[in-house]
Amino acid sequence: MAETPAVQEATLELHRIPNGAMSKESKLLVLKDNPHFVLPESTQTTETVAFQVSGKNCAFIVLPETAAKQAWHLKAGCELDCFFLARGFTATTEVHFTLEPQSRLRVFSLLEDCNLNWQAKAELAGEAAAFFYGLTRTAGNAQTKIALVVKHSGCGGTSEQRFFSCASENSAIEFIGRIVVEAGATGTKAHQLHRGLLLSPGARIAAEPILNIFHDDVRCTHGATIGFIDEMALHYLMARGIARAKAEAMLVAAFAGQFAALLPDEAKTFYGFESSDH
Amino acid sequence: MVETASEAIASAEQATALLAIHNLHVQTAEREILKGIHLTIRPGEIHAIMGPNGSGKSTLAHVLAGNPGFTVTVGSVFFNGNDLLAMAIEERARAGLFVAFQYPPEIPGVNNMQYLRTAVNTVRKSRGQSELSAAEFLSRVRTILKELGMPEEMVRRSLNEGFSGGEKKKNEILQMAMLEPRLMVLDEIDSGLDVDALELVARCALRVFEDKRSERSLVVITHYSRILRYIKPQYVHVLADGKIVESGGIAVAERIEEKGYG
Ligand SMILES: Nc1ncnc2c1ncn2[C@@H]1O[C@H](COP(=O)(O)OP(=O)(O)OP(=O)(O)O)[C@@H](O)[C@H]1O
Ligand SMILES: [Mg+2]
Repeated sequence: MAETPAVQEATLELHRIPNGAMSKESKLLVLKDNPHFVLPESTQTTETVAFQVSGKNCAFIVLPETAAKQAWHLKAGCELDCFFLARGFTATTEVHFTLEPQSRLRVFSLLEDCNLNWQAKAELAGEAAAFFYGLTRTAGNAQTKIALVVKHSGCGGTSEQRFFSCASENSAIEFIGRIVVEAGATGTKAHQLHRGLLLSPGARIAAEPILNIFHDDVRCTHGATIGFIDEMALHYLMARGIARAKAEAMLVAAFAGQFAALLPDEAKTFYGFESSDH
Repeated sequence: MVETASEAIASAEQATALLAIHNLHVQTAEREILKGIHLTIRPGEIHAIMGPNGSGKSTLAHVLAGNPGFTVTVGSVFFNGNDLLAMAIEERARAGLFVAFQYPPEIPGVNNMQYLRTAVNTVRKSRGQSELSAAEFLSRVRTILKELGMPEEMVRRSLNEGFSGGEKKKNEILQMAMLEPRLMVLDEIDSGLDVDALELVARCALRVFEDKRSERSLVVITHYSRILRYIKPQYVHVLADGKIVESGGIAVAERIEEKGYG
């Protein structure tokens, strides 16, 4: 019972393969150390599933309740979408990506009601691109901490971090986003945005951008907003007969919708969002 | 003696009027804005409220809607015989009060159509009516969109987000027509509308009123008499510095349009 949690390590190498129609057979299974492959609909188990959807490499990762450590290496030309999901537990997760030039990574994370320490790092060599998008929701006394490092070590890399945090009751969310641009990384473009929504006076959200820029010819931007729910909007909805709790839920869903809007269609059901077009 | 008589009148009015405002004083954190409003509106009546900028017209509309940014210090408001000031914001709407706001807020990420359906069915349920099916709801929305000259694309967007001034006003009237209120307060619904749009909006509001004229009332807050050519008020009130300083017929509006507040 009191064992120290096992650390899972899996090194994944992804190789670009020709576009193929999506079917179970055409799945690109690249997990070396894990014999289990489950479809993304099944979210009870703590597995990683990597396969192809419409010719794109996708990994659906339901975080394990034990400490986990993953390392991914993207070879030149590789494109990968990773979808992280964590709901209601305590753990520390580390994930490390290394990107060769001409590779492209998108990482999505939905972390809900977790006492979680999520640490992610991406190292980009040259013209690689990494995009991190996240929605974090907490309630009760949960505390989620996200520490993200994106490091540009070559010329012409692109990165983006867009995180949305929504904390209610006495919960807390901390987001630390670091951008490192090493000397000589000419033409790097790096952007970071954090939006926080507080739903009660006892909730806390902290967002800290850290920029370590060791080169001149780069474009880096960052922005952060944190606020309470829009009272004007709330009263407007109520003035049309909608109860306060429902109106608040609608505004929170609208906030979360900013994350959902960034998701590719194949990930929407995985995260429990309605698939688009209405 | 005078006070007693006025209170006797007030309580008689509470019983028969759709809206009975008695000696209403309202303030914000800084200062008093409404300084003793008296106004009685009976079913079937149309009233216009005019008055210079900053005289308190929108404040009155907000107080009726239940905006907690304003504090009522003295006075009473009865709506259909019930103490309006004791009701929560959403209860007022369910009871049949609708205020079309002068500046409707933009609410990104809340789909106009889904929101409207939630509002309509919530209100209907509270009134003991059946919920509208998706098909019935859509067909009613389409009828009103046509009436207002609004493209259907408007209801598929986020609520008021990026809407032009005139589009926001039309969207207010769409909501009003769908919610079937008893008392309709239109706060400068005519501002931002071009002449053709103004006619469509005015005719739609009037149509909703006429549908159940014996139960409904309309209050039009405006600076211009143009809208009053379509929606003809029996009473025109002038609000100045937080008080109603004059009440009369349409001639009052015509005089103001010509000569200003002087
Ligand atoms: N929340 C507030 N805090 C402080 N003052 C306010 C607030 N709301 C309104 N006021 C002030 O109250 C006064 C009345 O405002 P109100 O919006 O009711 O005027 P109005 O008659 O609707 O004017 P307009 O014709 O320009 O729409 C104004 O002087 C305004 O600045
Ligand atoms: Mg006004």
